[in-house]
Amino acid sequence: MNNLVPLSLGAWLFVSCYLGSLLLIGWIAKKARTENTMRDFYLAGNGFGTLMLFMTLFATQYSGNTFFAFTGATYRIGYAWIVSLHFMTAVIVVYLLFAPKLHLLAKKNGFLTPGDYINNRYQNKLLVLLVTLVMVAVLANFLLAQLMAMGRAMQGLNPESGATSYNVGVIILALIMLAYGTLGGMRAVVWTDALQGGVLMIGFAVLIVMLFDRFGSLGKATQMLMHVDLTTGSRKVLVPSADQCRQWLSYILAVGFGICLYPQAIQRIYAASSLKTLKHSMTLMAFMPVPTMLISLIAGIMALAYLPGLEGASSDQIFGQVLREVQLHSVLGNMLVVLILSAILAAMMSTADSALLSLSSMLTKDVFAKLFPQSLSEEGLTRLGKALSCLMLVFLVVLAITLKDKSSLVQLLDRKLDMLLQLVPAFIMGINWKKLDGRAVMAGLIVGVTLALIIAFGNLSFVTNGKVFGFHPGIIALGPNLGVTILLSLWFNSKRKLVKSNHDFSVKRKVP
Amino acid sequence: MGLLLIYLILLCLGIPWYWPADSTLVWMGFPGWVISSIVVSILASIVTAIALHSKARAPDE
Repeated sequence: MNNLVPLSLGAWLFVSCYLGSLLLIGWIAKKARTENTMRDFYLAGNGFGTLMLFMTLFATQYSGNTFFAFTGATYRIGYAWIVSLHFMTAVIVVYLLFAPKLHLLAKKNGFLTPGDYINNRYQNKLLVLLVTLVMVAVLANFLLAQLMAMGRAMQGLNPESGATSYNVGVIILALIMLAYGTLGGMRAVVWTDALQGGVLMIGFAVLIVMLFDRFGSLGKATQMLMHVDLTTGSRKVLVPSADQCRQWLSYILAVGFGICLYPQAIQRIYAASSLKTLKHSMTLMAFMPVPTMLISLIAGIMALAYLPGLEGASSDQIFGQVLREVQLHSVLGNMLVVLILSAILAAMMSTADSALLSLSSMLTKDVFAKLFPQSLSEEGLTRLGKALSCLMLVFLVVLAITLKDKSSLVQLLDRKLDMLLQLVPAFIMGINWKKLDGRAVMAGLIVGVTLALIIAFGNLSFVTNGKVFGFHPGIIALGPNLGVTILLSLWFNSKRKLVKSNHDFSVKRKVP
Repeated sequence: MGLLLIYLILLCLGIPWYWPADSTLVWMGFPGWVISSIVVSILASIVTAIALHSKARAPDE
């Protein structure tokens, strides 16, 4: 967002008040607390109704920077980014495979963390630890990326101060986030999710109308880009190539199965007040990809047609240019941009905060409470969780500031979906196949994660742009992971049957 | 199995591999293959909504 018209004092005041209101939400959420337990802090007690759950599921699936990251992606590859519509729909289809059953189990057994389900299903402490480690690594990565995005957004709003704006931005926003998250827990995060989700959807819809008003119709932009395709041989509007189609398939599978296994997504399944509520929220979610993704697709296409010239990494700045055009277009446009910027910053904080909550719940319940059982009361564990949130955040803020000029390194290390995909057998297969064995899941997980990391970082000759034949490393590694899990489960089951029949036989022989 | 088959068909139709590479059809401002992709996505949403509500009612419903 380096191309914005500098914000006026009034605009800065508005942004500050908007972000300050999050503290008020945190305080109100604290007042709404019914008991001082981990369940109340991390899952908001008895859970959320349809609308709140829908808004928070929406904010979990479409984080604050989705809008401008996807606008940048459309700018780079053109209409082929419509694949985002399919992979966001795929997320809900995958939820269908396991969320209703998982919710019922969670209600029956009082699950708080993803590790609780693993423990209940497989009774294998080592597997719980392994799954928790994978999820903690993913969440730390996720949180770091959000903090860096927050810093870059602040730098874009105040480019004259350069690195100072980035550093101060990361620290101040992290402090606000920590304050309202610690005050109100999951309740505060979900309420801010709901507010930002609503403001962003309305704000972006108005933004698109303003873009049409400024530049002209979408049809005109498409025709212009079609002409460029036909004369230069590019494929920004023409039908995607075979290679792109293969990548589509990989994206649909990777995002579809990956996103719904984020720990915060699983905890939202637990947090639904009833199965009916969960189903209603998911039904609403099933229809969200079309309006949400079309907004960023249209913004990207309009920018590609009327604001060409940015290439490679700099194309990520296109969203700033689009906002600048709207700012310069009218006073209303300028006001809309200030509102959108405030909502984006708040949405990023809210997304980061839900990851932080999840992280602290897993470290407290799945690591500390397992290592030192009965050492702390429920209240003590909640306090410990808040302290761990603080420590993790300080560590990640230092990392975000240290790595601010190494965003390519951060991107390179970002293997969130590749790692989450390896948890498909543990959660999705485990809930649907009673004979799945915990030891087999553990072996498959180790094989999958190792293979995904080797493909991603091994500098192998058959890997192009981080993908094998257009497929993400996580998808490739999931094959052997599933193979090992299924074969070992069958083997363990047959061994168990053999032992049981031998036992029955010896019992029968002893009876006479 | 029936539901899985429907999703597989929708997946095959959603990816525009079957469109002629040189198609220049534009409809409602979008290229033709994008419109077909959007329609398939809406169909997937409808199927998912029906599937969510047609499953056997759980004890708490």
